[in-house]
Amino acid sequence: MLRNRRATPRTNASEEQFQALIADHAEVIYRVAYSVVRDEHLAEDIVQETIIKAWQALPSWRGDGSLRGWVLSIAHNTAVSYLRRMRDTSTEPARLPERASSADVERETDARADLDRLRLALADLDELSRSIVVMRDLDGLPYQQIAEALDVPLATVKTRLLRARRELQRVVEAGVHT
Amino acid sequence: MNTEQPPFDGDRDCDRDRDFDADLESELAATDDVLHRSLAQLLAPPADLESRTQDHVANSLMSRSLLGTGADLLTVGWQTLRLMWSEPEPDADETEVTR
Repeated sequence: MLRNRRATPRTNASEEQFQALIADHAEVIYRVAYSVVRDEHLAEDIVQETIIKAWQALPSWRGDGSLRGWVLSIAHNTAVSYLRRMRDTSTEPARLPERASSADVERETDARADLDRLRLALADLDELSRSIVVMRDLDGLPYQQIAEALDVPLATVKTRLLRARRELQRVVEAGVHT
Repeated sequence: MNTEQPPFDGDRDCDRDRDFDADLESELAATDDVLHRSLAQLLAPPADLESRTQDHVANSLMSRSLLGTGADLLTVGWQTLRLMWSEPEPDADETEVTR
C-alpha cells in the first residue's frame, strides 16, 4: 500500500506556507525545546523535527485552536520524548543535558553569573513549569492555549506559572541586590 | 476538647473562592520586566536558526520522500511478482462441476 506523504513544497503557495511555518514558529519552538532539554544542539534538532512533523500533519489539522498552540504541543511532546530517550539510553553523565553546578554560579560575579543563576533556577523547576513560563512570559500565549498545548487544566497553568515566577523572581532579585 | 465544626456557610466559602481567584489573577497580571529580559537573554535562539532550519528541513523532507518513493516502488514490484507467480484460483463454476 502506498503511503500518503507530504514532501518538500513544490508550488509557490505551499512554498510560502512552508516558509511561514518556519518563520512564525521556529524561535518559539526553540525556546520551548530548550526549556525542556536545556541543550542548544538538541533544541535545534527538536525545532527541525517539530517543523517536519507539523508540515506533514498540517493538512489534517482541524484548525479548531490556534496554529501556534498546536505547533507548540508537537514541540513540547517531541522535546519530552527526546529527554526520556536520553535518560533511558545515556549512562554517561557528559551526555545528559547540561546542568550547571552551584560552584559555577559562585565563580562568576558579573552579568553572566546572574544568567547562570537564572539558568540554575530554571533547571530546578519541573519541565511543565518551565514550558509554561516560556509560553506565557516570553511568547505571550493565552492561558487557555497553553493548557491545550500541554494538555493540562487551566488552573494548573496559572498556579504553576505563579509558583515558577516567584521562584525565578527571587533568584533575579537576589542577583540584582548582590 | 471542642470538636464541633462551624456551621456551613456556602456564601462565605464562595466569597473566599472569589477573593482567592481575584488575588491569583491580579498577581498573574503583574509582569516583571527584569525577569522577562533575563529569560529572553537566556533562551535566545541562534541568529541563523531560521535559515538553518529551512535548509535542514527541506533536505530531510526530500530524502524522506526519495526513500519513501523507493520503498513504494519496491512494494509495487513485489506485489506484481507475487500476482504473476501465484496459482490462479479456481473459479466458482469449475468448483461446482468437480463436485
